[in-house]
Amino acid sequence: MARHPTDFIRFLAKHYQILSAMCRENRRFTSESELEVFCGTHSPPDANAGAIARRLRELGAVTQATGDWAPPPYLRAFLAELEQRHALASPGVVRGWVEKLIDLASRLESSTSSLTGGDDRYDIAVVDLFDEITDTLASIAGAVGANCDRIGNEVSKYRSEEDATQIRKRLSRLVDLHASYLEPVLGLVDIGGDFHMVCERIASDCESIAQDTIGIRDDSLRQAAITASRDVVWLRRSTLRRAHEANRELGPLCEAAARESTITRGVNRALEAMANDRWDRLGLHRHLQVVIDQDGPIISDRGAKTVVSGARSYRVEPPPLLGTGSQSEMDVPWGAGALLAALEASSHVPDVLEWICDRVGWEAADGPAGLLYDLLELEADGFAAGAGTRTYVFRGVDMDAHIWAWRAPAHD
Amino acid sequence: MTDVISNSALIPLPARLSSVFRSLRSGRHLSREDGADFLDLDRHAPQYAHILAGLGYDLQRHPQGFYYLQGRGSIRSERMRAALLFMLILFQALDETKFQTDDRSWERSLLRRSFRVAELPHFQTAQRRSMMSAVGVDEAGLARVLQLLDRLGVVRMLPEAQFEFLPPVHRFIDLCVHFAEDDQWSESSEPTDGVSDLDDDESEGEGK
Repeated sequence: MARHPTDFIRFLAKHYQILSAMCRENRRFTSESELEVFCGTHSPPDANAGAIARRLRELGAVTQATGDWAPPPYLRAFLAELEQRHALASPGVVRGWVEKLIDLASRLESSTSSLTGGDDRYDIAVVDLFDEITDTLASIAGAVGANCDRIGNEVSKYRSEEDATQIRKRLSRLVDLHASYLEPVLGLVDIGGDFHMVCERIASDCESIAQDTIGIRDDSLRQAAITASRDVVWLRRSTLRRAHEANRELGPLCEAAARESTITRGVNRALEAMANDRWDRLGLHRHLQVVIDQDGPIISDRGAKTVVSGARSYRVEPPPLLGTGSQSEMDVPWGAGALLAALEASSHVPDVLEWICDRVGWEAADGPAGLLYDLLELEADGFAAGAGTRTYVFRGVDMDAHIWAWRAPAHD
Repeated sequence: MTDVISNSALIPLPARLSSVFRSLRSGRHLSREDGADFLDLDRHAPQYAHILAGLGYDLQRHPQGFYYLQGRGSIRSERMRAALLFMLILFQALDETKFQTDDRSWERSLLRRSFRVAELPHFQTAQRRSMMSAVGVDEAGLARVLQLLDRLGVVRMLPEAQFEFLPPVHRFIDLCVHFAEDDQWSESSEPTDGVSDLDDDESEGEGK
């Protein structure tokens, strides 16, 4: 049966989804009825699946090359290319537009430097330049936005896919999209990239033109400059925002995929080395050190060496200084021996505790009382306790005590 | 770890020094799951590092937020090999089946999930069985490997023959990344004379 290209293309356009699914899933049909069932599941409910299947065969959209019905290789290749629509606005294409924008910015700058105002021909040329700039920017924003939409769709499909083989394929495509499309485009449109910088230049030139044309009767050029400046800033922001949104969606997926791919490569390498009994390649003694020193000596040789070297360094260091204030003399504190010597110089002291307090102070009772006990131990023969008690008034707590008198013993 | 304590300064001893020191010296990796020991170690890490350095130990803090002692260990190589093989087979199986899970990745969810010992992939294929056998581990011996990993703070045993991973599992992941990024890997096909992994085999319980 004669086939007409127009019929084929018309049919392809109308039943694109069936053929696209057939090619994507790499389907082959062992019988015509199987083909009919597939057409039925991928076409609207009211469509005649049998008629579609028959037409597919008649037009050569499926052929029976090896016993099975399947789309011919050229059609598969064409539809696979069509699936990669992002290639239509590859980073190279976006870069080409950015370069065009750089050229337009240079032309705008030279126009700004020779701006006179009031010259209609000149005004029209600059307004045309504004239009061209805005068109180019819109092309970039549209292409990047559309591709970001596509990335979003791809991510959604990846998340909703349940077949492991398809998930792998989709993930591989997402990784490719991230590496070969999104990252280069982000490099162009992000802050510091060529697109961002040229937009800044254009916006600045537009503002200069708007400033320089204040007061000119025909303010159409001024208005065009203000509009162009606003458009440039808005399109720049929206492009950057879309690219960042897509990156936020795609980035973590690709990062995880890349990281796990790296880990798996390491796992496979190590397992291969183990299977070949090549444990030496793993270098566990270097890369997987685990200190288990539970039953060993508490201080290792290295620890002892560290302690000894620390101790040696202390020997040469001067002792620490006590405070940095001015030095002052300190009274030699009273001791029992000194007190006893003073007592022995007197033949009689009626109240020894009072005598001690006069010398060491009336701050607190503890010190004088302690000294009195020391004296009693040193020279018990010279002391005699009185019958009554007395209250000794200290600055802190008062104390009631027996009155001890001193009478120098007669020594031979 | 950076030692920020001056040698001449007298530093107060951290409250849980004894317990932390005992854990670290027994090979344990201390992570947040270790509770008070970890919190004390994390709060006073410079003091711990200083004290341990004085005893000849090198305290390490991993970016994933756990501590361990670095240095040549005295763990038996065979046991460490068995532990590593156990981890590698598990990682491989997790990667193979990751698309059957909701996360579609395994590393990020590794610390959030638990594993049933009976469902582990180590004895499900002849090749894996043979590899496990080569390191002296049969199905009954799997429990010993898990006990070692539990002692090291890499896994935590759960009721009903289950376990979960703790952050120190990242030491094994780091090792895999190291193998993957080793540019010399394919060139080192010939064994190096005298540098066998077994050369460092030290019997457990011996001093450092």
